[in-house]
Amino acid sequence: MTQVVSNKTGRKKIVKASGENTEIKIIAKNFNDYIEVRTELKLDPKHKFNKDCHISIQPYESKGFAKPPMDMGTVGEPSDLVFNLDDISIDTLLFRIKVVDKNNIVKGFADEIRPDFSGGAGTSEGGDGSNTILPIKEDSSLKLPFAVQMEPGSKPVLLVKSKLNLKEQFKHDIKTKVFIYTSIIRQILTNYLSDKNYDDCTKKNLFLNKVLGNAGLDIELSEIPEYFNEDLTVNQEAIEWIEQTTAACIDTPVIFKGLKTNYLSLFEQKCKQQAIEEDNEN
Amino acid sequence: MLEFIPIKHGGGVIVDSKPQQKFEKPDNCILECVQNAIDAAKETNGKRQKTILKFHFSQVRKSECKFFDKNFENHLKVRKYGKRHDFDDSISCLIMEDFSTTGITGDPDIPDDQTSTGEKNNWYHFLIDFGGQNKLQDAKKGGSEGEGRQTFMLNSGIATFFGISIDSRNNNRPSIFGMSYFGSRKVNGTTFPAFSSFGKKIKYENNDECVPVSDVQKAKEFISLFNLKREISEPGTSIVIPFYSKEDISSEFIIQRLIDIYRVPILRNELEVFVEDTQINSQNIRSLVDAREENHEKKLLYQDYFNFLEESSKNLSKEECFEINFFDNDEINKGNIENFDKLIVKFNENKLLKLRLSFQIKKLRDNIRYDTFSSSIDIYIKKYPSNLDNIRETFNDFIRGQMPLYQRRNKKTSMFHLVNIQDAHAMLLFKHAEQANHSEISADNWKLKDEYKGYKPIIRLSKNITIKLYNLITSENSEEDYEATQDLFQIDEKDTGQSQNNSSGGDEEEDEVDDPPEDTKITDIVVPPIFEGLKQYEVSQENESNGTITLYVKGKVYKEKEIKKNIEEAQKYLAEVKKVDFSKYTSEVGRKQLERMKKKSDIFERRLIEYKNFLSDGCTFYPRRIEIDAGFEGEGVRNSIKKYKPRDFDFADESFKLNLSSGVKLKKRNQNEISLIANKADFNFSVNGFGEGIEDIRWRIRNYTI
Repeated sequence: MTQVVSNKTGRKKIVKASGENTEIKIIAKNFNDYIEVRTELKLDPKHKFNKDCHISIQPYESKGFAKPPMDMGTVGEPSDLVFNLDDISIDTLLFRIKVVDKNNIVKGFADEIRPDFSGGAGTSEGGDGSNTILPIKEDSSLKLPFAVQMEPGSKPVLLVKSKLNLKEQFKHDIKTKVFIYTSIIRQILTNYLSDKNYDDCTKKNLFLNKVLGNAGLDIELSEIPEYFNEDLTVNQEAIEWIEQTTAACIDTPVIFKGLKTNYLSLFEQKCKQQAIEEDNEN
Repeated sequence: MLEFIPIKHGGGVIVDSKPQQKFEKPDNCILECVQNAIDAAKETNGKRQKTILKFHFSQVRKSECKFFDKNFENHLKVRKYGKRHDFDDSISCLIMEDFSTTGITGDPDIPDDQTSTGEKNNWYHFLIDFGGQNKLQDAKKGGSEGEGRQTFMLNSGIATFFGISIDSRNNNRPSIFGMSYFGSRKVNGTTFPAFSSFGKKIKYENNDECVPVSDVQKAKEFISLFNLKREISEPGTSIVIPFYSKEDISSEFIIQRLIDIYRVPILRNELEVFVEDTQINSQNIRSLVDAREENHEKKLLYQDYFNFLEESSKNLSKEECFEINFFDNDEINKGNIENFDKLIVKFNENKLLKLRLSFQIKKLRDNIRYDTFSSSIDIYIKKYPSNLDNIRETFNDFIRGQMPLYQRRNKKTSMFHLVNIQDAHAMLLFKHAEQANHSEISADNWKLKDEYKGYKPIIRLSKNITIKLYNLITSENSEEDYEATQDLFQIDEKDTGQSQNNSSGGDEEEDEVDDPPEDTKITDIVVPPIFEGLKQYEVSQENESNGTITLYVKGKVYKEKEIKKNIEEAQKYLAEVKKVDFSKYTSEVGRKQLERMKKKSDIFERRLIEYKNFLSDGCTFYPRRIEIDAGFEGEGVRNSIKKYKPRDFDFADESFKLNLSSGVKLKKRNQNEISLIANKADFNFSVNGFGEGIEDIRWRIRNYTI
């Protein structure tokens, strides 16, 4: 699928990626009840914006919530800002910057600018600059060996009973991995499809896109079957879709212990191998 | 030169220790040779010299070996062991020679444990006193049981070995010798013991004895006969194994075993080896290992392991050093480790950590009393890089002095670890716990019982201490984990859940965009050729002077010749990538270069399959159905196309001008959708419109097989 967007007003793209030619950098520090934000603006003269063009920056969340735009002066006299934000999640916080002429035509633009927390308290999603949509956390209060914790607007979290070294087993033991993945992917999909509270959850889209990508399904999110029929009974098609998608997602090619493999195939192989070993022992 | 001189059984019990039950692996003779060489290392000003070993092969003719006489053949015919070969004229020999060593010291003419000046006679211990544990009380030495040289005969197809040793402490006196392990046997009605020797016959204390021949001229003949690397003036020992086990032993086999088992002493520059023309030393061990490992992830880990070993030999800061309190128990818990919480933090930061385990040793002084010594062993640990921590490999060692106890390696953790025993008292204790060929330790070893008291807990604990530490750290580590599920659920930082693909071109562009610029530019190790993903068509758009916009879709035509050339170039690139020596890229930048190369080669491998399939499909994607839809783009609008309303615009209106070349036909134009059928790759399509307003348009182009 290809998507292109026209640019009728000829607006320029403001560079947000970190590098020598970065034009806008947002540095943030996370404190207990607020986030301190500092901007570093260095517009490239090659854009040739008029000096009287106004610059504004706007904090927003990836879905819905947005703060009013804040004035950063003009291209001729820009000014960096330092301000605090509260009641906003650092996981979903984004910024957009605009350069607008006197007719209110956008001449320069960048959005989805993620704040840089590296100098501050850090995001809650650390780890080598990489990330996951499904973190694992130990929990001593679990009655069962594992569970999934979900709430709208947040990533689903795989909870494992603490002090049992289950995280390690999940990493290294194919059977533990497949059992847990099967259960939690199925449960998360079911929750996302059945619970209206997740309709506007951005993490839901992220998770679903990831699952669909792993499953090799080139479909739109809108093509996923509805969980309930009009008479509020469960749609059998949705149940089947969840089962098939969970299986296909787990069976995507991965590198496990340094070897390219598929978890389900490896799982089946191990089970059969164990059956033979047990037979031999008998 | 030499003579086969079997000494008949002198009465009493005949003993055959059956060493083959202890030394059943084909590499035992190689390990024995390395161990003997390390034990015999020369010292200069109290410092050990680097030991040098040379392994090679030679071919001799039986007719040139006068010592293989009729008498020898008579004994050979009734041998119990080493029956793999007929006694052919052409004899293949494995030669193992050590240099920068003392040679076997003492007096070869005296078959007793002391020389005439009261010095230790190592000739006696080497050729006569099997199982005598002569090295057991020397903590620095590898040998403990005194049985290792039997491995030379076990590897020979005629159960025989020869040797020359030049004794540096006795004016470089050369002595030649040989021995056969035929088992007890009767020849011409006379009974002989299990072992018989080559040399010269002497009378010692009214008994017949066979001792080595110490004669310069004969030693030179011996060197020439077997084509040894040794000069007559070079101290050290050379061992010759005739009819060595060719099925098991080759140059490559020896190289693999040495770089695997002796990687620590080689890297520490304590050992250097030549196997035929291949040199193995601290400078090139990384590349030798790399060339023998196929798996990309393991290659990376192996190089990291060498970094770990190098780092562990340096002084660590206090912050990275911890103490383990030993309470005479073979288990540990977090209460045994001071600042355990800090240790977990440092461990998670991928720091190399040193833990010192201190304990008391009680060693027997006489039959009743014990001396008590304070001693310690050092344990080094470092977590695998987080992207490789689902691997568990034997990137760990257990070292006593120079000797690796290689069977202590394990695959039970995802961390590098090293147990380093260098304190003299601890070395001696652990030596008593060692089994044959310095491969393993056991708290139940009988040698311990004879010399020590209360040793079992410390031996048992240290045997598995790294696994216990790992389990302790990981089970107490309650930090949220963002790595373990990255196999299926990795997302990029830029991925916020609302982004849409704005790329132009055909289907599913690969994410091949370079990482954002960094302080250091990451260059390609092997510059890749251009090997783009195959596209069904190209998409572009233009702002027209009349305020309208035009979207162009142009079918992409490929020629078979071009596809074949691209496949060839890609295969060449992948072949070059395979040759890359990872050991040259151990810095942080180098590591990133390797990761970049891996990413590219993975893409190339995947695309090669696409290209080959495309070739077999006749180099065309067509006919295809192409669906174009559009919507007004707006700030904060998450799915412009889905938000389309009929009042926005309608492609059925005449204000939208469509232009179709031959090869493409219109199937439908309605509301925000245009549907086309393209029968061949060589087609052009455009749609022009949206003259009013300044709203931008998001176009989505999809295609399907028919």
